Amino acid sequence: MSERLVVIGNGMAGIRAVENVLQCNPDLFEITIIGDENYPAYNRILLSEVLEKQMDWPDIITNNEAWYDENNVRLINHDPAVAIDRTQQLVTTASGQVVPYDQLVLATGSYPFVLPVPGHTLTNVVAFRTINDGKYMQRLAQQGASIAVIGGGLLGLEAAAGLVDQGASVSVIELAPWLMATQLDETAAKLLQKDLEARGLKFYLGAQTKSILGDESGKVKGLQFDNGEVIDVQMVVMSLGIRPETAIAKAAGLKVDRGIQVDDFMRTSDSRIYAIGECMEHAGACIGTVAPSYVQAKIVADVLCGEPTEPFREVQETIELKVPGIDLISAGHIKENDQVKSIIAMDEVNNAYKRIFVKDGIVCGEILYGDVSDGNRYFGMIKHQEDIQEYQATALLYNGQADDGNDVASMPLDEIVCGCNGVTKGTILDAIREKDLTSVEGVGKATRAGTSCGKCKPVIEALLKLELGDKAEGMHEVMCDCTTLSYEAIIKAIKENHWLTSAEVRAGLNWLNPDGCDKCRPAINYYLNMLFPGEHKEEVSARWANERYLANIQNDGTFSVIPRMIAGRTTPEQLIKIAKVAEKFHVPMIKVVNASRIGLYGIRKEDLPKVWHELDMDSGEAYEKTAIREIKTCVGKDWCRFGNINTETLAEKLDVAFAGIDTPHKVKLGITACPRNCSEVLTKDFGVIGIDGGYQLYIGGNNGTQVVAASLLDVVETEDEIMTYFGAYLQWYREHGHYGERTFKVVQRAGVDNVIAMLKDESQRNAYLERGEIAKKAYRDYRNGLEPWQARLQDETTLKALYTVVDITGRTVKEGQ
Amino acid sequence: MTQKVYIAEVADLPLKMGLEVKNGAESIAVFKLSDTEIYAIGNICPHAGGPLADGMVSGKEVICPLHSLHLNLVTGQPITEDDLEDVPVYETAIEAGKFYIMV
Ligand SMILES: Cc1cc2nc3c(=O)[nH]c(=O)nc-3n(C[C@H](O)[C@H](O)[C@H](O)COP(=O)(O)OP(=O)(O)OC[C@H]3O[C@@H](n4cnc5c(N)ncnc54)[C@H](O)[C@@H]3O)c2cc1C
Ligand code: SF4
Repeated sequence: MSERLVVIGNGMAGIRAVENVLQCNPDLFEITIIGDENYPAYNRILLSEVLEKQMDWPDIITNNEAWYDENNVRLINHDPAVAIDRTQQLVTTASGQVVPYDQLVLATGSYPFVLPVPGHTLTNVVAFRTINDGKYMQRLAQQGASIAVIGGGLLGLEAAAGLVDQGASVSVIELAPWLMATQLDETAAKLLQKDLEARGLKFYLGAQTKSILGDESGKVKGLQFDNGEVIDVQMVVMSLGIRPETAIAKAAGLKVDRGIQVDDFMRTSDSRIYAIGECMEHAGACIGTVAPSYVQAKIVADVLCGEPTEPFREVQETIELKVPGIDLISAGHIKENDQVKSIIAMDEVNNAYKRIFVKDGIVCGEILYGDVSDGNRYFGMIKHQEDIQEYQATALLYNGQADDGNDVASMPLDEIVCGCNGVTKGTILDAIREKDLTSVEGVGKATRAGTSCGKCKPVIEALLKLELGDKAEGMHEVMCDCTTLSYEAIIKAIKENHWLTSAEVRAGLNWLNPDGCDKCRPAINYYLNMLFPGEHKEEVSARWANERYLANIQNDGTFSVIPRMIAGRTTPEQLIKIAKVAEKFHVPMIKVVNASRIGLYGIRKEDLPKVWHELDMDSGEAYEKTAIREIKTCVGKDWCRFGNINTETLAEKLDVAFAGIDTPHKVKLGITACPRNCSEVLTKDFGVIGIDGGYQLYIGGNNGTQVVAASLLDVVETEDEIMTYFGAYLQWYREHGHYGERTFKVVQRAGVDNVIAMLKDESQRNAYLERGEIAKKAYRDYRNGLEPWQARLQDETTLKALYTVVDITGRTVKEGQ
Repeated sequence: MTQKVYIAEVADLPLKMGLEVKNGAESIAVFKLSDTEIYAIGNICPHAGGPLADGMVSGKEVICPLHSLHLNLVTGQPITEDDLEDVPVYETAIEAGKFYIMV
């Protein structure tokens, strides 16, 4: 019979230890994990990302229930261990289950320290440690609560930034005179504070909390400082550090000081019991990050499996703040004293700050703010104790090489790239070579590099480029969870195999979920349309509601109808038609929308065909991911005294030529007749500015959750040249965009200079243009030359399938029999 | 008391898409996965009231068109969020090419 291995704690260290044991020998142990939370294992460090809306809760689960089944791991979850009987070798859980063990691993993590001020037990005083905490905080924040975060350290700031993103107003209270006092100096902290203030955070520094005030129902209503000042808040988040969770270990008589005491091989004072992660204490030190937890998880697995292993030693790490848009790195020793001196550079133009700490001629610490591109270079120096006495201060501060700081070619092979998972450059390169990897995701699957906090992904990408050159897929995204392939690999396979249905694609590429998901189904439908125009048959059920019904779904389940009004120009006839339809169907809301046309809102699905019929106008295709979502134009030369060009004719030409061509996402255009730019064309996918004697053309602008200024493509003299450029650019986007990705992202990914050079090259431009023409023709043929609504009205079957609502009120079984 | 009510010919139900059925104030979403496999659940998404019949079907899940909540269309259970109520599940019958729901 195999030995029984029991792990207490289903957190990051515990699950990793089990994974390592399974990898070494899946049959060696009968494994049980006892967990306290009501989720399977998840990546705790990504809690901040979820709060900051970079990810969603389900995305951070690392081992779903099926994983435990498949690996024969018994999970006793949401039922904490309450006692260990070391003589009988039994663990008892809160519900009374008794689990015998031969080997026991304690991975109970830590708990947040709560400031014991009056009021600390009120409802809505929370800490941020688990998914449950996060969801609770999210709910209150979304209600627009005022929240105080006590503690201006790394975690407190990540929580505070996330809460602001969720809609709360947040005050951060910190006793020290500046933020992240253990990792930053005052200058860097002040820069950070300014950037965070710009995002809406409020700070109380050097401030001591005296008490938390509650209302009659026991809920938080305010917070009082030592100086008597009171602020109104409805929630208090404590973020003052962590304490190792040692209760059951202590009760079982194991040696515990701050944490559970372990030797170099993670053994506690009982040789059958090990402790890893934040609950342990090694050589007088506890830990609070993932990288050393994972190192320990590997050591314990090796010991359990009888493999040779290295003793545990302190892991050096860089500290980064996971708040989007804020770049900072801190590492090593960062306080000046008699022996430690520093070199400082401040770039006030770009708000970038660097401070390098040196002891006896050896780099021992770094603080970077604003520009962290040299972070890895310095960290390498710290780890390798590089002697820099020969460097000029400026040579140290300025690399001189115009690379991205990840000078991967000169990086030694044993240098750690992924700190969380302890993966070296050498391991990654070996994996790329041996397993023919071409993408960051692939490297992640093979080596785990980049799969925890993700901050090393750019370095992995650089390594792929270094090894494979142009063949590297780099940051190419995997399409969805149904596959491990990137968009590029999938498009290539569809093209090569000439597959004509989504089902063929999924079967041919061994989709993990044979039915596909809401991400890949519309994407593959699009790529089939794009690659085989005219041959592929549109798959309506793979379309989201808007594209399926040719109308935009609204928050109450009704739809909007938006007819075409090229460049916002309309006629009395059109206005009368719209008015009549609006009256007849009691349209609750009529609005001139941003895209310069009129929208009718609140129409029931079953009324859509009737509305289109009576309107008898072309569709504005406001619902679809297609070219020409809008062409915003100023009145132009015909009316405006500054105008250089005629905007209307150009808009009409573009709209007539390209409207309705399906694209990875919507495409918005802007035409403005002089550089005063009344139609705001510099944040459009394609923008035209009329100048004296010609046109400036811009590409890749965006105005949405991300604002991106467009880049100048070229200056041309004729409308024909504009048509050519736009046609080629559109087709390039159709072929290279990931479904759901706006032009700016695709342009950024390809490099704006490359895109411009490609479009300026006549032969490449013409090739795109030609393929685009074929697609345009096929698209029109598919609808028999009709505009979308008219085409749909003539397609009886689809009409019936999609817009029918069956009313059975009062109906009985007899009908239909 | 529930009774068996005729809805539509099986052949007329859209494949791998939803059909909305109204019964007084009640709204039901019917999903035909194949001619022999048809499910009926409450049409109102427990998250923000989205019409599930207009959602995309993936395997035995439907994805709400408003905010992409995934629900199991056999059990009516929300998958990607906890703390939400299940939607009601209706018994169904297929007889001689006709589709019925117990309401
Ligand atoms: C919001 C947030 C952001 C973070 N960001 C980073 C980061 O960017 N980088 C980084 O390196 N680290 C980060 N960390 C820290 C990192 O998550 C921890 O270092 C890591 O999770 C430690 O792993 P662990 O297994 O020791 O503890 P945990 O992951 O906390 O796991 C311990 C588990 O044991 C359970 N448990 C406790 N007692 C019992 C019991 N008696 N019976 C059963 N189960 C029990 C707990 O419920 C918990 O699930 C972050 C932490 C948080 C909370
Ligand atoms: S952009 Fe120039 S031409 Fe157009 S309306 Fe404004 S000022 Fe007039």
